[in-house]
Amino acid sequence: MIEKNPTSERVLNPLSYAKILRTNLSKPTTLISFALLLLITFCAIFAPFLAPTNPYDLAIVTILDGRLAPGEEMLNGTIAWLGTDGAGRDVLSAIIYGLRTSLIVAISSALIALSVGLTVGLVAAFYGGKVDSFLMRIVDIQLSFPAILVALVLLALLGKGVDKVIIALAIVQWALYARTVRATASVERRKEYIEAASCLGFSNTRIILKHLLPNSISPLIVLATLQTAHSISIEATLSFLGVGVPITEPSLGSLISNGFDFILSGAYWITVFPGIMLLATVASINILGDQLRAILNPRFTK
Amino acid sequence: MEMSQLLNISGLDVSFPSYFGSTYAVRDVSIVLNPGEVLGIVGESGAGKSTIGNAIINLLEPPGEITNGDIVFQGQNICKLDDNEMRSIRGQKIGMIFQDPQTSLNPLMTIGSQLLETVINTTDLVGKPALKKAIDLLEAVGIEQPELRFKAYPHQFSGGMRQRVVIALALAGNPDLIIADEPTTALDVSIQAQILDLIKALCRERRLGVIIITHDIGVIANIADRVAVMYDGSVVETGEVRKILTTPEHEYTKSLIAAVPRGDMKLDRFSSIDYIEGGQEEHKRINLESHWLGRKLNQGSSEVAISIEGLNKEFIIKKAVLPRNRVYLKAVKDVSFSIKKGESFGLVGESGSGKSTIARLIAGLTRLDKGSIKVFGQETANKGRDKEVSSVQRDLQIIFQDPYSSLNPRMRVQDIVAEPIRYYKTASSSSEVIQIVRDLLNHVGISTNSMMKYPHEFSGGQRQRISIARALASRPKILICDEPTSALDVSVQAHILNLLKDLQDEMNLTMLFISHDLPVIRQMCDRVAVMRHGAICEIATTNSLFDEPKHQYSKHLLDLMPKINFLTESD
Amino acid sequence: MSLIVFSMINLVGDPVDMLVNPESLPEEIDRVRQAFGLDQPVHIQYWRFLTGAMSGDLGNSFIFGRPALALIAERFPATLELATCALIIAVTIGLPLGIYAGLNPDGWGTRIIMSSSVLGISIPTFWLGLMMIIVFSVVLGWLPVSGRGETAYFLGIKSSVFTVDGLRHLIMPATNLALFKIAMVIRLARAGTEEVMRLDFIKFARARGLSPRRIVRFHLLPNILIPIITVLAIEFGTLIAFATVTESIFAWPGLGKLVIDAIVNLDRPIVVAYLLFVVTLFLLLNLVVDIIYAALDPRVRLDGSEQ
Repeated sequence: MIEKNPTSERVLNPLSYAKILRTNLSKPTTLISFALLLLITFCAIFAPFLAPTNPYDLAIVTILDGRLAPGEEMLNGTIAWLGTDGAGRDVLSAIIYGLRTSLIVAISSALIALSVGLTVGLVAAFYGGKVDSFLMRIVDIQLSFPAILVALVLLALLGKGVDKVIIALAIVQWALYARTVRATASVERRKEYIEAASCLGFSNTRIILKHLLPNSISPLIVLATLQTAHSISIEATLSFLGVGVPITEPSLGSLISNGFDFILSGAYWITVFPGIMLLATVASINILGDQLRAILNPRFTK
Repeated sequence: MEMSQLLNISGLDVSFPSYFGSTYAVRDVSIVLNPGEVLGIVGESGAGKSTIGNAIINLLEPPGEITNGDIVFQGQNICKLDDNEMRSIRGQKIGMIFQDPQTSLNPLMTIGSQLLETVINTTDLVGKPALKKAIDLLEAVGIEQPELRFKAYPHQFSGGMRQRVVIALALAGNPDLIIADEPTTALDVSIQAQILDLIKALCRERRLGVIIITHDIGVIANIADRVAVMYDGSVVETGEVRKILTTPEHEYTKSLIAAVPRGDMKLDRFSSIDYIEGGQEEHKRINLESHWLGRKLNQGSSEVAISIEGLNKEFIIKKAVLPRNRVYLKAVKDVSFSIKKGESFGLVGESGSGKSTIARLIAGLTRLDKGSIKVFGQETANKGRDKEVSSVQRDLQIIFQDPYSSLNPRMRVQDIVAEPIRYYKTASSSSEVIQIVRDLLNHVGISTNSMMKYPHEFSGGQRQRISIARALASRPKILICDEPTSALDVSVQAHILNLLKDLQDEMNLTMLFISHDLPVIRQMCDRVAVMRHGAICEIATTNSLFDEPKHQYSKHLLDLMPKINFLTESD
Repeated sequence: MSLIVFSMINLVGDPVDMLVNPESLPEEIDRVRQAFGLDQPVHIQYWRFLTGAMSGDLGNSFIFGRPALALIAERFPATLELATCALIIAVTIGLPLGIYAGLNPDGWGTRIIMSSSVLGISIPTFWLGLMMIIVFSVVLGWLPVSGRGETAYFLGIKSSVFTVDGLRHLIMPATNLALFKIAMVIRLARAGTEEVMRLDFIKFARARGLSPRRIVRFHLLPNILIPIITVLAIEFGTLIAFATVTESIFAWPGLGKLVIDAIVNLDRPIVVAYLLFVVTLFLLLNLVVDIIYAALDPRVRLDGSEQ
């Protein structure tokens, strides 16, 4: 057998991450999307301080402010830079608060789904045999249903509320994480360093945590990023349809839904601006995810 | 004589520009080939031999490019041609075959269609005449019932048959030159000989020029007329095969030949291999009495290290709901043998013979179906890595075959070797652990300042050394070596085998050595068991097996050993 | 499965509250309850449901008062039409673009294609639908705002594809639904192409002197199509599910709109019927995928018999 050229595989270790970050951040698209993402996260965290008004504080909002065009002044003196919606809420503020909801929902559900999926995938891959078949059967069944459908049904059952949306999205996503982890982990499982660890007599837990896990998570990083973007999209869609976050809570989806009624009468800003923000957020996360994928799965000639 | 030369390469440079600067895969190479002649290009990995093959037909992997030199084929300089012009040469004037027949064929097309499209695209034939030619080609490469096999898909052929199909495809356009890049490396030993014979016969019949690129000196001795030896991108020596192999002039050639395990007698060590990697300081013997490695409670006075009785293992290769439809493969059939303490026992056989399965059964990595395994007198069968028998099982460590997957890529080398020591707390302090690790790594030939590196920063041979150090860290008494050098270059192999010999010697290890390579077995083992299809054919001492084999299959394997006996004349 | 569905739906809420004026007398409420069989204990309700389901009767919609299954069957063709058109659009546009991108990784055309594909998977479908309505219907006035156009029969199939008016109504929702899929197909095709082009048999095909066109058509294409087709078959199910959004925006009279309304209004029989219908559909789809795979890949179809 021919000895493979040692440079034909690239395994990332902590030392090379820094170098790669530096080279990749120099690309314009990555830089812009990264910057945008930082801005959005910043806004989301500090929403109460940044937004001109709190559009969900029922005491302030008044319908007399309704449907102001972008740049007009509201009753209490603040300028509605992006206009106001039908109920008098400042669109800019609503967008900022809405982003906050989007991020919270997406990240929370991703974390829950990741933990569950990671555990299931690792266990299935390590023990193989009947355990693997059983767990993966469940995963396959769940995956054969479209995400949106499962989300719809779950929310129909659970009712409205931010926490319920998080749970629903987590349930929708975990199977994908499980399958991805299991695929990578199964390959790693058969590699000889795992057998060597077994031979040396280490406990199964140790082998799974210290040897199998670190080598199986890199596809998960990409997946988590892309899924976060996807979750934001789904949450907005669900809120738009009226089954997601309740109307009293901020959400970009319900904002757009509100604006739907006013399209024909010309108050476009209620729909257009939140949509653009949504698009920008999701797109920048997706771009980042693609970059991560390119970094973590370098293609080298055999 | 200039015009009758088939191929004349002069001053060839191939470089791969990259972010960090250009690397030269091939430097100033000059090669000549005449029609009807077989030229071998031999070298180890990284020597640049495949690159030359790719350069000739201009199929270099991007970003590789020819930066200098000329390739003159039948009087025409072909390295300056563009892709379109080159296309009319490929297949029609120069044919190429690659290493792995499985991946060389489109899995979704019948071999007949692939053959037909090649014939149609490279000759003037169409329709019925083209079909006839395709079938004739299949017959010429030795495939029986060609009309029937025409409609078959690649996965329905065995490896050797597939390679024959590949050869047929390469010949379809009636080329004058064939480049064969490691054509037999992916095949079993018995099939290798058949394919080489086929290539040789075709070469003579059709007056082809053949370039054989390989790392295996046995192949060169078998089939080549002349040979060019490559090292690190340059040709170090060229000449007639017999002359080069018996009286090599260049230091590298000498080392390379000395590193090839001899099948005719057992040497103490591989000598004079210092030119290449790994040739470092003298291996310092350790005194087992005072060294950490020797500090362990005695495991009883059993003279027998491993004893297996009636071992059986089968795998399901076709699952089905109804038990009668399931297909099983009997990987191990009623195998019994025993290994004495301190002995070096060999298991030899082709792929699929069950030898690796036995290693894993003994180590407890696979459950067995029937039989018993006793290690130092204690039964360990199907106990998994149970607490009761764990201390005995820890006495038994494996060195695996693939150096690229036997080390955790995310752990530093120091931690990899230290892990067993830390887990079992066999050292009294963390600084002692580091000391022991440093000591072990030095002992196997890895320098101290590499301890904090990650596995991917090391070469294959170095990684095997690290694996050996890791195995030693649990102070084993038995070492199972499962094809430990099959994935390594022959010179690196020699160093590693030397190391294993030294270790066994100074630590009085019992060794179970598994290989498909008979000469290696001869060099490493005292007694040998020959395996085939899961069963043992013969067990004998090494000398009596090689001098007077009793079983038919043993004789067959010995016949297939490359005949490089003329190498011994120089001794 | 049906047990799970049924029990979960029962937990949701009391549908009677939705249907009846809360001010009515208790007797009225009881009468409504009785009419819908909701006064029986849960297990009897489930039993009735099962026996009914066996004979195809899944109960009557609370809102419409007609058999749920019939409603579903009625509305399904419209959704099917939408989803099929979207799939066809996605493949026709996405596949060639993706293959092109895979074959020319460094071209500027590829850069444009790949950037568009990122946009494609990032744009929220519902928002885009609204934007499309604004631009094409309100501002430009080219296309109708909503609804399904006239239908005609062809080869026994009733579809709005066969009329001009139908097409005018169809094009926006179908394209809207297709957008995400186009981007997805582009990415799949490109990844597949890049992967396959690196394989040995492609190199060997070049070494044999075959033309690039031949290599793409006969060697590349079959090898990337199999995984793509299997993914698309499953994604067809997603299209049907995701049509709910598009149908809501464009008031397309399909399954999706029916279900959303049913969920919001707690019209239980419809939700249950929809779920069962959809479950069956997906099981069928998975079966179809397995069959396709076996039909296309000879390695699955034929056993590797050694000579």
